[in-house]
This record gives sequence, structure tokens and C-alpha cells, in this order.
Amino acid sequence: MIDKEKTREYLDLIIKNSDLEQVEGGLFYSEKGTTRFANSIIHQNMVVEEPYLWIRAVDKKRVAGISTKDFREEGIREALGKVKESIKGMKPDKEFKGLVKPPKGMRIRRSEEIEFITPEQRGEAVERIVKVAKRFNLKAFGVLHNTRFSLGVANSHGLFNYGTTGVNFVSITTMGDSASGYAMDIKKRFSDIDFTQLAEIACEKAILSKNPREIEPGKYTVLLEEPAVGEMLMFLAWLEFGGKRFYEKSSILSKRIGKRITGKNITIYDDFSNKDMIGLPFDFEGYPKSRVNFIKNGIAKGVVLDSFYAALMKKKNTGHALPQPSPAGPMPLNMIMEKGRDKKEKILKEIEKGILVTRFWYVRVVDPDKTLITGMTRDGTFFVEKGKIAYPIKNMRFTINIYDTLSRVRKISAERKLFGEDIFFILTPALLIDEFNFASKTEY
Amino acid sequence: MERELVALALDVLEGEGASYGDCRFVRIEEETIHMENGRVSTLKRDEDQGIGIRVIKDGAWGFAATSKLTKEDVQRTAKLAVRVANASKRLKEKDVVLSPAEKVVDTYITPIKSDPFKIPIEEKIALLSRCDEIMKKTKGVRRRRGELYFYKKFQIFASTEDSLIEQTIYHSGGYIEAMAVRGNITGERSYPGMRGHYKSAGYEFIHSLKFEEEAQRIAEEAVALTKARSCPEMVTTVILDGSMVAIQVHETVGHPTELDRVLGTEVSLAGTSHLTPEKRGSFKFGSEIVNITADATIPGGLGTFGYDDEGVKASLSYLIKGGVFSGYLTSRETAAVFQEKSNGTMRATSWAYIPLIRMTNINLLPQQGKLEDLIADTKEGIYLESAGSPSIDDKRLNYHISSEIGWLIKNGKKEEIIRRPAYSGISYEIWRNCDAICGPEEWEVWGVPNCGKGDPMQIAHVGHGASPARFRNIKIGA
Repeated sequence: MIDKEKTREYLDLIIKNSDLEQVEGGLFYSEKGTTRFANSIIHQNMVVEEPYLWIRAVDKKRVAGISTKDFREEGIREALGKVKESIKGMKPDKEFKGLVKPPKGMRIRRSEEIEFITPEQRGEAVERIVKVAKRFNLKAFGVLHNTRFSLGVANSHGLFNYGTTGVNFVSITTMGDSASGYAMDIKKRFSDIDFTQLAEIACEKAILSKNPREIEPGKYTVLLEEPAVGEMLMFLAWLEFGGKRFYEKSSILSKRIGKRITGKNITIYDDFSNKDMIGLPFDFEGYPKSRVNFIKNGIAKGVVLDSFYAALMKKKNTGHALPQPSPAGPMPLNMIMEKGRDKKEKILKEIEKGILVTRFWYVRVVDPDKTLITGMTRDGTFFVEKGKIAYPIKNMRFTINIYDTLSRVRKISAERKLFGEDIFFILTPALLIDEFNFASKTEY
Repeated sequence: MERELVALALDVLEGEGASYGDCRFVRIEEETIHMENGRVSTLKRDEDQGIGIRVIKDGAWGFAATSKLTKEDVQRTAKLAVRVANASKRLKEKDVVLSPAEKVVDTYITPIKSDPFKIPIEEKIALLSRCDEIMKKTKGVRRRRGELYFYKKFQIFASTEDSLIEQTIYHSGGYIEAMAVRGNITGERSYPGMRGHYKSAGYEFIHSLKFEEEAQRIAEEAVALTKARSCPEMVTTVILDGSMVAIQVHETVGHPTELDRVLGTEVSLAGTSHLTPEKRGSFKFGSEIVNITADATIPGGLGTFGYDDEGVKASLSYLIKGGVFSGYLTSRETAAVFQEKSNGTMRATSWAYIPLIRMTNINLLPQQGKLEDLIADTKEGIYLESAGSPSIDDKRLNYHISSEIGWLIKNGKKEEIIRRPAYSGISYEIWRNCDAICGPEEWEVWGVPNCGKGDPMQIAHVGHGASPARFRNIKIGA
């Protein structure tokens, strides 16, 4: 971690040494420990400290950027020299309105102390997982990531912001003959993860998924568990909830503001401040994040913006810039889907005939005009009859239109889980959905 | 100075009782110029450097990496790698064994004619601007894009087995793209290949792409796509252009032949493979004309280098020979499981990552004939160009691949344009149904600069030599 004072010192060096009209400096520092395990042994184990120092400079409406690992004053001067050279070869960008100015009354929130998780602590956690897998006569596979970040951004308009956060991620796959099960969790605190309980969930799923039967593709009622819903919502973040495609009018949402776009029971928004969310209170331009509603009770509401798209669209900056310059446009990084009232267990009991999906895999866009996506089920797909898991089934390919699918949500779970990694998270419930389209099957 | 730091790290590892250690100093420079509707939305240089230290201590792996390049920080990081290895050994069944590798002291540099980092920014922007102006003239085009990307990696690899290898690798490439809108329908076309073409080359490759000559065509095709009908659902003959064959090879041959996947070490993210060891040498994967190699030695491929990140020399080996599954992509550790030598495919995205088995250049060897003759020889079917997005299950069997554009073929001629076509099936079935592969005159080494694998995710640059090919009885549709 680089503390606030030291971060400020590096960023001030950028501002002090620049003779261009405007300059922005950012320092994103991550300290990441990763332990990967497979066949119940640790096979990759690492600690990596990685700073990312970037400069965005503006001169006569010409904008260019550079990143460097050389934090010495001479290194920063050299980087500024290179960015100045790049700018010389550019033409003015008439659409660029300048670097963001600090909003009135902006304050830097108090930074959290983030614990450092040692390789030994990760090793102990993996031992607990493997112990459970052995009890079920299964092999354990998976990963533990423990990351702590600091982010500081400053610019020549006097803006400075700084924050820290931490992420602990665990993914467990347990496997036996023709069977696999999965469980995952993401928490800010390492001690909040119950590795034994997660391993038990993964093992129970693997045991249940032995000798899967083949069923015919078609439309089924499905109970999508949280990681599967998270995967689906990630594509809405990318296709629909960012300001760029909205401005280009290439998203569906851009043509439906104020109109119904999903079922009435769907509400999705971005809010870093939710107690179960992991996120920083400002974006990569240092601008404070606002809560943004995307869909409220099924009605299309809005998108996230950064300073560039806010200026273009003459709207308020919502504080959702990615590291600049970037062709990607603003993105929601702390998405939340409103939860329902019933526990997953109760929802399962309501299924007369249907499919329980643990997770999706390799989901891709087929047609962005329709939010049409395709992907596979994985690590625990079950046929449900009369409210109980009847038997495991072989994995299937789904092809669905996301908005249509969110118009057929019958129930939303009361439980929610974080899905995502690094700096992008979705807090999502499980969903009971009617007429979910499975297009083909695979061999296992 | 970097050599000294690398040597210092190895000294620490040996002093700490490591049975094996290697150290990579890596410096990567990247330049990206992205133009949208005539404005440079991104002009960015990334300069990254650091040291990654890998160690085996008491039969277990450890890895630590830092970008702080002082002697103290390198010593501290080497000790941290050993500490990590000590933490790994609490869960090991047996000691890590590496297959033997020769001691190498050598240097390798990508042969280039024109250093892309020395070409003035003005020249690069002017090229993109000219393409933008051409695309802008086509009525109905709402968004024009162009991007140029340049990459230079300098690496020092040294190991406790006394290897010392310096490599400098250049990659260059880019794309142009037009998007047209009509009502609620968009049409997107790009050039070249699968939203870009990249090679192990200098700026001369950018000249060879002749972007300006293709800009008008893709703009017009983008508009045509907004008026085209969606892909009909049927089983028919499919002809893939070379870039789509490259993606088919990537997803259904490259990934499932990675031996680390087969042995289970990528289960938690990427999955496993249906190409299990007992199938090697006997499993009929494709028709007899299907020959697929892993070849890190061919000029121009994004998977071309002198030595991999374990210091193993670049090589050529067969993955599919005469349609039969014949071999794997291997590392020193995985090859040792079968008492073999590594075929040199271990690569890490940067200093901050552990090397993994990665595709090098996975090539479908050419047969004969031209694309136009292949289409003329096809009574009914569809010709697909420029890969959209692929999806495949975690054992690499059930695939679904979309493309930007298709043309229905009737009586040997390309006729109606089809919007957002896709095809799907089981991976070995499509290769068994391959009845024609075009010849060397149509063969190109396509670059994929965004192959994802590992956890944390590592993005690798890989290559695929391919020419257009024909496949019978393929399901098409959305």
C-alpha cells in the first residue's frame, strides 16, 4: 500500500514538473497474494506488488496519456517529456472540455486499514478446503486472491482524492468421477469467509452431480444461483449501463428511458456505499461517485457518466470514469440488483419442473441490438421436480435475450452474493425465471 | 544494471536452499492510438517494468514479483518467493519435477524493418484520419473507429541452471471499423480479420495492411448489414475465411491441447479438456486433411519467439496429424509427467505473472486451391468472414462462434448478405466434417492479441496460421 501522504507526494511531482495547460496524475497500487490449488495440492502461489502511475496531459485541447513504473522525479520528467512529444503530433479535440474540476465541498473520506493476508494464512485456508474435499472423497481445485488497493488521483485544477480497499476472493471447484461442484465468496475481510462451509457446499453439489442425465434443449423454468445471475448482469453493465453506448444511441436503454424495459420486480443500480459492496468512493478521475439507477421497478432510468460524457450530454457527472485516456467510456463498477423476500430454499420448493443452475461459463454477446447472449452451464446443473432436486443433468448451452429474460423473473431471492473481481463487482440475488432458452447440449 | 539484479535474485534463491530458481526482468512498452469519428479518443503509452522470481524449494513452487528495482527490493522479493514456496509445501503430494532443459546463453530479436516506436505520431494519426474520412463518406455510417497498437518487450531470463537469455520482441497491428445504424438495428464491419490483425513485425506490417483500400468496402458492408436478414437456422455447408478458421483452431484445438488444463491445474477458471492422455495417438479428431502444428519458429506470428519463459528453445510440434490427436502444448513440469521434454510454450504476460502454458502459433497446415475456387465448388452453403465472439464449454466440446458477416452461397456463388451469422456444434465433429482447406497462397498467420487464461487472468499474444476451409453439415443460426 502507498499511504495518502506518499501518494500525494508522487502526484504533486507530476503537477509540479508539467508545463502543459492541464495535467492529471493517478496512482493505483495493488498488493496481491494468490494461492491456486488443483488436485488438492497448491500448484501456484504468489505475491505481487504492482503500482500503476499514469499521467494525462492536455494542451490546446490535445490530450495524451502515459503510464510508467519509474517513480523518481527524473522518471516522471521523462514521462512528461514523452507525453508532450505525443501531444505535439495531435490535432485539437473539439469535444474535450478539459480535466474535471473538484466539486464544491468535496472531501476525502477516511481510508480503511486493510489487513495483509500472508501466504501462510492462505495455505491454512486451502488446507481447510482440502480437508473437507477428502472427507467427501473428492479433489479440490480453486483459487484464493487477497488484494489490497490504494488509489490516488490529482490534477492541476487542485483536485485530489485518495482511498483504499481490500478484496478477498475464493473460488472452490470439487471434482470426482463425472461430477463437479462449485462455491465462491467475496468479502472485504478475510476472516468473514467460512472456507469450511463453502467447501462443504461445493462437495455436496459435486456428490449430487454424479452420473448426470441428458435432457433435450428447450425452454425451462430455471433457478439461477447468484454467480449465474452475476454473469448475465455483467453484460448489461457493458452493453447498456455505460454512458458511451447511450450517447451513441446504440444501446436499447438509450431509446427506452422512462419506459418499461423489464418486469416490474427488477431494480438495478450502482452504489459503492452499500454495506455489502466493495468499492472506492470516487472514480479514476478522482471525482466522487453518485448512486445511479439503471432500472427501477422495470422502468429504464439512466446510465453512469464520466466528465467527458457528462459534458457531451450536458448532464451531471456521476463519477464513473475508468483510467484515462480510454476508448471504453464510463462503466458501473458497483452494480446492485434489489433483493426479493423469499429464501432460495423456499423458491426451490415452488418449482414444479425446472432446472437449477449453479454458474455459467464463457458467456459472449451474439447480438448487442437485442442483448442476446450465449454461454454454457457448469459445475452443478440439476433437474428439479416438485420442489426438490431430482437428478443431475449434463451441461447445456443457453442463448437468451437479457431484457426479455428479466421480464420473466417470477421470484427474487432474499440472499445476495457479490460477484466479480478486482475492482468490478455486482451484488446479486438468485432468480427464478420462466421460459429460459437452452439451445443445445454437451457431452458431460 | 538489470543483469546484476537478476543475478542477485538467483544468488538469494541459492543461498536460501532453492533446488531451482529463475528470474525474469521484463520491460514492456506499448503504444495505442484509438480514433473514433475523427477524434483521437486515446493516445497512450504504457511503460512497464519489473522482476518476477520463481523458485522451487523443498519440492514446492513459490513466486514473487516487484517493480521496485533496487538491490534491497530484489533481495526482499527473492526471499518472499522462498517464503511463498515454504507456504506451498504444506499441501504437496510429491516434489515438483522438471524435465531436463539445456543451458542456453543467447539473444533473440524480432526481425523488423521499421521500429514502430520511431514512427512519428503525426504519421500514425494521419493514416487513421484518412481511413476515417473514407468511411465517413458512406451514408448511414454512424461510428467510425480505427486503432493502431505497438508492443515491445525486452526480457532477461536467467536460471539457477546457468541459462541467460535476452530477447527483444516487437508486435504491431491494428484495425478499422464502421458501424451503421438503421432504426434499432446496427451493422458492424471491421478490417482486417477478427477486429484487427497483429504480427510479430515492425511498422512495415501497418503499410502492408493497406487500410485505406478497404475502408470504403467495410463502410458499405456495415450499411448493407443493417438491411440484411438474420441468419436462417439450418444445417448446411460452411466456408470460413482464414481469420475465422484461426478462431476455430484457437478455441477447439489450441486450448484443449494445453497440458496444464488436461492435468487439472486450470480447473477453477478455464476448465479441463476432452483431449485426455489415453486419446493421444488414436483419437480421430478431424478428417485426414487436418494437420495442426504448434510452431513458435515461423516468421511473423504473435507466438513467435526465441525461447519461452523457462528458457526452452522455440520449436515445432504436431497437435493433430492426419486428423489424429497427436500431441500437447507442454511445460517442463507437465512434460515430465510423461517423461518427455517441454516443447517450449511457457509464457507470462509480464514480470508480474507466473508463466503458463500458452499457445504459440497454432497452425492449420494448408492444402490446395483458392477461396474463389472453393466457393465455386460449393452448391449450397454459407461463407462467413471476420469472427465475432466465440463461446465454448469448459471441456472444449460444445462451441458457438459468431461472425460479422455471411453470404449465402447458391450454385457456387456468393449471393445474399446475412446479418450476425453464427454456427455451433461439437468441436471434433466440425473437424471431422472438414473436406477442403485452401492452399499456401491463401495462408496467413493471424494474430490474436487478447487470449485470456490463468487466475489472475493473463492476456497473451498468440498466432494462428490458417487458410479458408470448408466444413459440411454444420448447424447455423443465432
